[in-house]
Amino acid sequence: MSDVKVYHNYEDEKKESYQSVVEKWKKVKKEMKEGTSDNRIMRWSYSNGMFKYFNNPGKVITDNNPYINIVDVEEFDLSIKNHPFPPDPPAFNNKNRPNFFGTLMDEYVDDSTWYKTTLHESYERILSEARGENVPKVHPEKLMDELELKDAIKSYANSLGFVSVGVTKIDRRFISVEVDDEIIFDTIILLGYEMPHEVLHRYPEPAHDTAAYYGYAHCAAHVHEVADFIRSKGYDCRARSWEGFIKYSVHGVNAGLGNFSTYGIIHTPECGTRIKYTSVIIDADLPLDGPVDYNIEEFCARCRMCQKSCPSGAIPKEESRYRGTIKRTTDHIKCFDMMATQHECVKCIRVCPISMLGYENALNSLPSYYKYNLERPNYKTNYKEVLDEN
Amino acid sequence: MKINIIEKTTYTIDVNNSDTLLDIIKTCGLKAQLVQVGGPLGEFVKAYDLNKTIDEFDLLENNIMIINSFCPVDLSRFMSRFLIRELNIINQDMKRLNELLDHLTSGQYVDVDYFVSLLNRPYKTLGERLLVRNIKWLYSEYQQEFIAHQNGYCKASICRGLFKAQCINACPAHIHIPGFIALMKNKDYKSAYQLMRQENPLSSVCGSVCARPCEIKCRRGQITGTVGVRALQRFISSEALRSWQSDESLMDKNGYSVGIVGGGPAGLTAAYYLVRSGYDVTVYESHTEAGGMLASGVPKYRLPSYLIREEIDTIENLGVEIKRNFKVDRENYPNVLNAHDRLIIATGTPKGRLLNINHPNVISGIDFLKRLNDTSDYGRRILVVGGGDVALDCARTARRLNAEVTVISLETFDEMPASEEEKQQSIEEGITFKSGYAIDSVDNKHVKLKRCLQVLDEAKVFNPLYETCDDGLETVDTVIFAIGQERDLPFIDGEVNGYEYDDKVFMAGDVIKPTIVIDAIAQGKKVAGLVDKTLNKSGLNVGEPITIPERVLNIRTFDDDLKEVSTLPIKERLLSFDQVNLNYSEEDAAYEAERCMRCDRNSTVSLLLGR
Repeated sequence: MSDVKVYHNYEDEKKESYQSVVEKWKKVKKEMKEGTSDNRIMRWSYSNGMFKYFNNPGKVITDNNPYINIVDVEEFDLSIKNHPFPPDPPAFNNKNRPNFFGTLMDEYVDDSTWYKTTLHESYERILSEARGENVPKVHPEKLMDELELKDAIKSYANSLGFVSVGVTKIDRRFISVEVDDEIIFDTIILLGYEMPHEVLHRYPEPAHDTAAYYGYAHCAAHVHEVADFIRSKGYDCRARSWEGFIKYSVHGVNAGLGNFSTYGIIHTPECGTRIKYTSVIIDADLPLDGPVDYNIEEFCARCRMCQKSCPSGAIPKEESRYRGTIKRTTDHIKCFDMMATQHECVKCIRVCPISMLGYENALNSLPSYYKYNLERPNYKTNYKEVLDEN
Repeated sequence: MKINIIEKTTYTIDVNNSDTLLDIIKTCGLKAQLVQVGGPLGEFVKAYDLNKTIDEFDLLENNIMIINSFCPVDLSRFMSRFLIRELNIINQDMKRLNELLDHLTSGQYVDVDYFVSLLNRPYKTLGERLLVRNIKWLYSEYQQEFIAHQNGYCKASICRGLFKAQCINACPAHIHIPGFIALMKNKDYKSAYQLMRQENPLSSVCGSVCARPCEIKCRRGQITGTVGVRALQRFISSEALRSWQSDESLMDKNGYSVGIVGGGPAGLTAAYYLVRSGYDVTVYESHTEAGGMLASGVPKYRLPSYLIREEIDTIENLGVEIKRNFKVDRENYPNVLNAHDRLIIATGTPKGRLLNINHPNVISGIDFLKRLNDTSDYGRRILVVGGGDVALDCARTARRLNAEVTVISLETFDEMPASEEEKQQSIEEGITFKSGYAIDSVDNKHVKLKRCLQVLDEAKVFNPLYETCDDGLETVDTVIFAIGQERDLPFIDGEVNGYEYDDKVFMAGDVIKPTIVIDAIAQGKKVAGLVDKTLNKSGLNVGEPITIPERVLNIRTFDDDLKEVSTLPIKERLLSFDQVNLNYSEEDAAYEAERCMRCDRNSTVSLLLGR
């Protein structure tokens, strides 16, 4: 009988006064506050069924990042409510189109079995590791210091085909509540895989590989290799998926991988918006990459081809105020609707001169001084030095 | 020491402290209007000041930036944004300075005194001081540009807050180019033509001879290849004029009368807008055919007479009286002046400049082109002096008269001011170029040449340097001078200085300063507006506003290259005066129209600072 869980013990409840419940909660709250830094975030935790405090070291980076326009930090902090995806448009729920993405893959991808198994197996492994099951052993000794580790990860990830690699802190306001408990470390390594140029060039008639699935599947194929590499150097880490739970655009801008594009996602100098991100969260204080101005906004303001070519009219011409920030809010319903009816649309990437013709070519169309930040700058002079009055 | 030279590509080269900037730039094969030494806040050096050596500079970073075709206001704005966003130096003064520069680049009012006072405050950090030093320097060197921005004009077509699209800004008449291309895509040729006609009543003419300032600043051209705006303009005009039935609105007659001396592009444009706004307009044209330089100065193989006549007819049919063969001179000028409430003088520059050389057959280029209908004999060997469009017009015309033609110019072939298209077609037609020469002496039809080493000196002032050489030309029958033209105003005593001569007399077009056709047209409209302001004050009537369609753009915009207009075969060209450039076919025009990026639909709001 001792195995049976008793959910309602009436006698205990009588003993536990209202005051004692309050005291208990205050104690837990105090512990949670002491366990977190000043930049904490409080959110409803689905696993515990109570409010929970989390460390949020990325807040400082985001709030001070001039390339993310938060106009009212308090309003933004209060209203943050990140669901993974907006509600599906009617076309997605069409009875004639069950399992939309699977159908799409079978129709247009040459080797659809490889794509499906890679995505499936990798995703299952990510989920089980997030639950704490079957996590591979970490090498007992730390084989290199954090600075060396960062360089090693970068060169290893580059060798696997990730073109855009950066390190930043997680800002929990930009992750979905569903994964709050799965994000157990604060430092994130972003890994961007390029969608193939020649496939995108065939759009709007997708044939063989669809570009987005190419990006997703290769992220899936290689993210565990990066994670295993880090564990072999003696640091604990978890691979994360390519889905929308972590908002990679914002973290990418924080890590100086690019700037925001006209349609609100990250625009990298390597391959524009022709990129899909995945990530690894790591238990180490790696040196962080700071935000960089690539003058992409300057170029976009003089182009806006995506906005003018979007068949659904989902892309805004100007920024608008949205929950304490001024940002580009692409209308996801309109966009998804078009995606479902026209299969994989991505016309916004197809017309983008940076994505399709190259970043250098784009910047050369501006006056030459916009090329000052072409490489990650490391200023020799201390411009902040205070001089004598004279 | 290693230094990065940044232009279109970045060159990393080894330099010594004693190297001058000019040496360094020349080793990379570059040219520069402005050079910035030492990173984003480094010192600026103008092109004529490049003899400074590297050790004279404080190298904050190991960068030398080569800056060509730039806007000083935008450069200042870039630096202030750089300071705030990248270097993280934020204070109220810097923010205010950035805000003022932002206002300048987006056409908002700026208090100049406050701007200057901000620049003269004492600043603490190195970054701020360098920024203020640089902006001060730019403000003193390019003050004209800053003033132009106050009035809402950016010469370099960079500050996008001041205009709808770069091509519209670059066109002196500000024709809505993306608009007429969009209308044309809908096969609405009449509306497209009417949209052009709101700014330019001689669109068909411009479609053949325009110097195309718009195509140089085409945004798509800066990324891959320009859109063929002129060819599209010609196609639309010819389609619209084929079945032209004027339904252009005229305002009620207001009783005022305006006289226009000279029936060239400027005069006809002014006449068109004034007659639509209810004025009685009389044009005094000294030749038998109206059109000014377009009729007499531009050869027929570039602009056939029927094209000019077609559009002049549309203007004449609106009620403009054109008095042909009426030369205004000292005697009848008072009568002409008294017959009208206002007089616009747009007589252009009909007198060709000549050099004094010892040769029996010397003629100015403009006279040569005018007298083509005479049966005068110019001989087999013709020498044209000059490197501009008129010189090449003369050369190609002479070639069609079956002569052997040599063109000499002071400039090298690449630096000749004539358009690339003209140069290319001249070579195709077998014209010999001796670029970088001038006439030394003429002895019994034998022309001895001298080499020209430099045309402009370091401060960009005309100051040619010569060197004797053995080159020469045997038996030249005729020498044609196309080295510039002068105005011919015997009936005016005062100085010509801008649009307003006095209360009653206005000026427009080449007569003020020689310029291109489309600029003369723009001036014609401007002066018509000025005249209206002094008389009826109703504003010019340019017709009903035209709605420009906003359709989803073609996804393949960046894949397709420019469809060049086809030209006549060279053999056929030399036998007649038929137009060399052919018109687009309907498919070609539709293809070309798809290539337009529709920059007029872009945002003009300035970027956020983000702090």
